[in-house]
Amino acid sequence: MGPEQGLVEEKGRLAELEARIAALEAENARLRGRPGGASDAETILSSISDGVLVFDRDWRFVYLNAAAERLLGSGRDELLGRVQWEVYPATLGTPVEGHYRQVMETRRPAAFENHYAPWDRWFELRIDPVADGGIIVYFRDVTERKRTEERLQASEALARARLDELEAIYASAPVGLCILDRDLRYLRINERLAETNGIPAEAHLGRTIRELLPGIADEAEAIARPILETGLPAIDIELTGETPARPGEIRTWVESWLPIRDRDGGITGISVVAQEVTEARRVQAELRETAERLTVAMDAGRLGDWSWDAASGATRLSPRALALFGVDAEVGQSWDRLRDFLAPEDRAAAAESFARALAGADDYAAEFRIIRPDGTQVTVASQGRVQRDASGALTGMVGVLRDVTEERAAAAALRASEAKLAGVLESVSDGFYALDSDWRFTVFNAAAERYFGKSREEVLGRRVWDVYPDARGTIFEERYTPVMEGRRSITFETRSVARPDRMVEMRAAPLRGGGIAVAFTDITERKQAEAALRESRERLDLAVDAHGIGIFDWHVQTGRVIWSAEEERLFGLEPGTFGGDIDHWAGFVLPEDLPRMQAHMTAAMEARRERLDFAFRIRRPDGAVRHIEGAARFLYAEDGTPLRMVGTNADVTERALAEEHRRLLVDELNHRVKNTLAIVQGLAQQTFRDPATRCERDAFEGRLAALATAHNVLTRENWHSADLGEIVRDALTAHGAAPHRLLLRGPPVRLEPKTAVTLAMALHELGTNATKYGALSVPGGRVSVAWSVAPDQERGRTRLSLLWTETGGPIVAPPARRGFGSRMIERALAAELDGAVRLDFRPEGVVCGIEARLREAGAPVGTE
Amino acid sequence: MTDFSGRSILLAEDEPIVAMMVEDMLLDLGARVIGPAASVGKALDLARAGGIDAAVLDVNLNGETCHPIVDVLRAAGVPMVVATGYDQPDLGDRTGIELIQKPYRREHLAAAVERALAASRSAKV
Repeated sequence: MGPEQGLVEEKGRLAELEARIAALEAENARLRGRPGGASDAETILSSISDGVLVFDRDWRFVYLNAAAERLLGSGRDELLGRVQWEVYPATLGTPVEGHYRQVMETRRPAAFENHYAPWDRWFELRIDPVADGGIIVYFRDVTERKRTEERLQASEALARARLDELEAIYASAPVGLCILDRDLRYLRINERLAETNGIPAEAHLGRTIRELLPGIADEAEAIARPILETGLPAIDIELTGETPARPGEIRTWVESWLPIRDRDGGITGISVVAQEVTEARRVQAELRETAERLTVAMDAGRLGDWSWDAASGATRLSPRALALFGVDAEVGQSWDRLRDFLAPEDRAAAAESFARALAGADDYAAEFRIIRPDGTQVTVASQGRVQRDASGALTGMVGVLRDVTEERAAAAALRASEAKLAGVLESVSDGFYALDSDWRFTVFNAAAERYFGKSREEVLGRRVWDVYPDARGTIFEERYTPVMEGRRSITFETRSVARPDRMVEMRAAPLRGGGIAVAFTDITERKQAEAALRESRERLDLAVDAHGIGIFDWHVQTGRVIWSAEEERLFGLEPGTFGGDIDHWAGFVLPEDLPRMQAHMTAAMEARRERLDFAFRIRRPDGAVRHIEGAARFLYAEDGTPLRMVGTNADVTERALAEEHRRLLVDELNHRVKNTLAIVQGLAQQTFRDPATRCERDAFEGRLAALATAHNVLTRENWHSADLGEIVRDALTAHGAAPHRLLLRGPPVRLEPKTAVTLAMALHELGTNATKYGALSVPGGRVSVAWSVAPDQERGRTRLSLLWTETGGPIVAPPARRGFGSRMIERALAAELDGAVRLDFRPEGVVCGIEARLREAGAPVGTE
Repeated sequence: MTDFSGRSILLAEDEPIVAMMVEDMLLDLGARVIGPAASVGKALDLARAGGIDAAVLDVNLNGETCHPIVDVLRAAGVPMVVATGYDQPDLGDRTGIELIQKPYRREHLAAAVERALAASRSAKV
């Protein structure tokens, strides 16, 4: 019994589905495995120059980006999966631990700076909670900034020192200085002025000019009055008079009277600078110069100062400024000599700025590289301010030099890394763009240009909502906004606004300093493949569920076997308990079936067959015997080595048992029918015991035997149909004729059961006649039976022509009376065959021609 | 014409009319008929009693298979013919047994018994 037609079709469909799934999975793998596809998240995180660490709830590193690897000096392979506190125990008990744990517990972000003692480095850290319960840490090395701050503090200390210095100068300056309150009482006075006045400094304090110096009091009060009223200083006024120090000597001073203001701008007093015209002018200028220099230095932040005297053209550099040039004080006296140390290509710009300052811009600023005598190079920013005398005439310039080598190097490195990043962005196959905090495009890589069909010139600087108005109010705005505001990364899949027929996967991450970075991948094909895969999986599941079909995959060379859950169920196993090798399978197969099954499979593989149908029985663990049928496909290596046998099994026990039951019933029925025939035969024998009836008894027995023989043929064919040749042969051999006297010739023809029985009875009658009176009644006589078939006009029917010819017998005389035999042949057979039967008693031998129209009997079952 | 003169043939057949007919056939062939036995038990008694040259057994006797009789006769080296209405009677692993399809005529029976006797002789040689 072969597999039912429906099951065969189902198996074919399954095989086709399997092949399709394999192709889809390969396609899927190709899509997922594409360069750039797998590291999308990393592309974003890598685009952030900060280190990024992600910890899970248990403080294990689950992610770090390339920057983090660099900053920590440890690779992913060293850190992933390890616990922070084990890797960096030095952080325990530091603010790092405190903040980390706080964010982990409160789920609120934190930011702080930390000095990591083992490396003597400062880090700025920002910690955000991650949705899955861990935390993400953004950090960067701010050691350089901290050091700069330290230097700044040092420079403030320097400024204070300068102030102290100034105080000292004030006290000891070779110029008279004093501070007067509104009543012109001395609040402060330096030694020089006290000396000039001829009164000890201490004696001045708290007393008025009029009390101490009545000789100049009128003039002094005249100068002071407008200052106290208007706040306008009196600069470089000449004052003459007599002092107690040198009585009788009229001395002349150039003095500047300056208002002193409190915080609210009110004038609280006057600062007086007094210098003898003859001697003190230089000192005065020097003091102003120093003050100016200090101011500029404070402005610039710090460092080496210089001055240039317009009259002499001489320069003067502070020791630190000299150190920057790497020259001694002697060289430092001439700009012409100093200029030679500038990098040649920087000289023109410096000279130009200097010229502009002199021409009226007043402020000078230049940046140039200095190539020191020892060959080392520094980059220096120079700032200066033009100095003028009271009349506005140019006197010179003062300024500072600042070493900006590190800053410039850092900036250059940053530019280089930006350029490198841009290069990476250009080369990745994913689209990438960045938006600033005003939604304007700042980056738009080549893949984005290709995808959107827009050049970066078209979009850079424009707001995304202006370029793509349709994106307003869509998922893009909805999803980007929290990224822009909430400072967290997101990934989502959606339909492209620019290309509505495409699906895209978008990944947006906030950028430090505002704005967002967006990377995207076209996933249209992937989604289609996924959908198709899902659909086909569902269909397969459906097919498997519906038919109880198990799937197996035997790796021939290793013996490894993979079973689907349904296959395990078929074998009575709990899911997942199959041993996974071919021996375990063999243990289930009934011992009487196993050698045949193994030989069947071996033969198929030796013949390199692609497909195999098979059937075997198994004994389940619970003892139940089940009938399994299946179909498999073999896969071979190029050299023909069998690699895999993949196929399906179905439990056909119910069908097999039903088949067995039916066979038993048919057998029993046949047995009873034949027993009944035997009883009839016995009855006839008992009935016709009289020797006078011997002839009739023989005829009866012969006919009964013919009926039983036809019956036998049909029994062997399961009552489906019978072969004409077999019917003819059986009918004739029953008469005991030697084979060489029979000539039987014709193609295979299937007869319906009823037709077969009728024909068998008719042939029996012909044979009986031939044996008694015809060709078979004498030695040398022969019987020829020849038949042929042709298609009938009516569909489903076949024309049969059969010719019975006797030769070599005695002269035939037509019978006087038509007996049972003739009637059987001419009437019953003609009616049964729906045709014509011509029985011709020719003298040379009987000829019987049969023309029949047969209903086509179906192909016999079970003949494979 | 086959002649079984002097041979004792055991007949086991549960259907009386068939049994009578076969008995007549055997007698016509000159044999001495032992039985007919209508049950397995009776047939076994006769078989064990000995003095049997051949046997004709129905495959099914009142619902019991003829297997025990076959086994006893085989052990005794007695040739036999099993008559059956089944296309392939269930004889277990008993092979090489002469079968005859019911209904059969005297000539068929004679030929079958001859073949069984011949096979037995050649087996004993």
